[in-house]
Amino acid sequence: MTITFSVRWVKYSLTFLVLAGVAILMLTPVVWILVTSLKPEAEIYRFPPQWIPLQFTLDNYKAVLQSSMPMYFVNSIVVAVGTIVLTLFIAMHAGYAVSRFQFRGKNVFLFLLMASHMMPGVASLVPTYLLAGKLGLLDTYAVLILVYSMWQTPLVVWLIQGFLESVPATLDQAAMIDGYSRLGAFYRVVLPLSKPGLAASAIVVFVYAWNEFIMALTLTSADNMRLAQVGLKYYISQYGIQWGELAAAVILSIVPVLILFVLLQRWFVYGLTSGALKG
Amino acid sequence: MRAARIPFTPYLLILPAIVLVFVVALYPMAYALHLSVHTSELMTTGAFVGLANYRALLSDPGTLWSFAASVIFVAGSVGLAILFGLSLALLLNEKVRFRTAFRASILVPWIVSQVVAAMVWRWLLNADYGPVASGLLNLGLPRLDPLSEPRLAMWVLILANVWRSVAFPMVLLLAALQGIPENLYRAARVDGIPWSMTFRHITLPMLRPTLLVCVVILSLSDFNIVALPLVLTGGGPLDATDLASLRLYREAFSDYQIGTASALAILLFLVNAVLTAAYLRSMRART
Repeated sequence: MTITFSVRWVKYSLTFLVLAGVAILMLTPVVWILVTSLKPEAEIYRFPPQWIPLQFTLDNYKAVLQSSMPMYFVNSIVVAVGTIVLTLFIAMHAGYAVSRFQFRGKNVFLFLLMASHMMPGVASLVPTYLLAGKLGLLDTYAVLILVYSMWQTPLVVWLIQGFLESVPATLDQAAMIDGYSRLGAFYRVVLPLSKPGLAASAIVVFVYAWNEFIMALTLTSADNMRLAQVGLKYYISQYGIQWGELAAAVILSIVPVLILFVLLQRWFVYGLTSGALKG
Repeated sequence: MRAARIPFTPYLLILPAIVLVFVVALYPMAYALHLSVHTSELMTTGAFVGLANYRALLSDPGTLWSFAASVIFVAGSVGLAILFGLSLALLLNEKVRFRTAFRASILVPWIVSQVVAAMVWRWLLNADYGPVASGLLNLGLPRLDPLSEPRLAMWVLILANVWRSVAFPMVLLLAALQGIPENLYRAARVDGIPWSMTFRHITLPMLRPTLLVCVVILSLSDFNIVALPLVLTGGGPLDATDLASLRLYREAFSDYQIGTASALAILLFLVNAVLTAAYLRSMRART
């Protein structure tokens, strides 16, 4: 008895210690950036570096807020919100069609969606850039919103479809007997019951649009159209590397996603992994 | 009367999605194919040249190396992410105190952008002011600047990528572990079968479909990665981390070689298509 007990105890402690160690290691890089962002200039370039600043300062944050970064953040929010609206609008209708109707070509449609989601961005970077240039869409919110929506629509169709299928089709029928049209039943009865699905989708799309870099870098060049991630990259080249300010900008750029993550972790994880599991 | 209308409705509902997918995904791909068989002169398409762009590309040792570098990067990243992801999932499947907090901490790197991940690691590994360099000095080891060593830079890139992507297989595998029926293990426990045997004969086979999905999805995203290597190493030092995806970006937007860049895009697209086909097959095997 005592032997099995102690074996179990050792196993438990080992599991606990390894997990705690890994958790700390995974957070360390972010913590290091946070620490750096709170250090005054002189202390940043001290060797050996200090994990706990001798002197705390918010100067780096003040400098970032006086730079162009806040404008880039606003741009990112505009594009993210636009992408959420367009993607959800397109995907909820497609999801409703797929969940409620049997129609010819349904499987082809689903296959095309899947294939276009799997075909990743870098291969279409060049043609997208050239086409956007021809259409005069470079340096506009519209082109980023369109491209981002295209990359997110397939995923969100699957996500929303799952939620729509959990709403019994008899409810649509009942609503239509009450005099609603097909779409009326969808908007007034089915959608309100699928709010969690819409919320999870919105989170996924937001995180994608907020974190995306390479399309934003390619499709915009004007300073006033820059998104947050691109702004971070240019922070390096424009001012030389000011690690203190850069660290503050990085921390500020993580905050919106982190808040969502802390508040809605369950939906977050569900949304970001569901695309991989539905077929 | 109504019956005639019903078949029309679903097509109307999927129309916006179809338009978007065609205009923003499929048409550009077709356009890339067109560009790849023409010359390009400063953003204007020139004469038809057949496969000349492809030939130029494939006879350039730089391109061939970039594909080899991609293979090394993808194999290293995916292998380590799966190994660590599986180990962490197994540990998190035990009832341990603070389990949710541990899980949340491991998820944090997953939600930061590739640009942020690259910057975080650059600063962490900074040879002059970074904590890693200082830690190595404390251990009596020489000062290290891994990002300027061709052989180490690839490992740094893989490490940073595993750091930001390990949560994905972990979450999926943890869910799969929790879906394995308990009575399978109970029978093994009654028979006194050791852990290693249960793992090999029950856990692994039950996880196989999920492992497959993880491998394919991670391979796809790692193969097409641009932002992380662009900001972390820029392809250097000495082209050591010049992945095919990164090379495509630079071919087009630093060298303005639209013809060869498009040919490279088509080659990447083919690799993606193969991986996607593998994914679809693994999905079918799963259900």
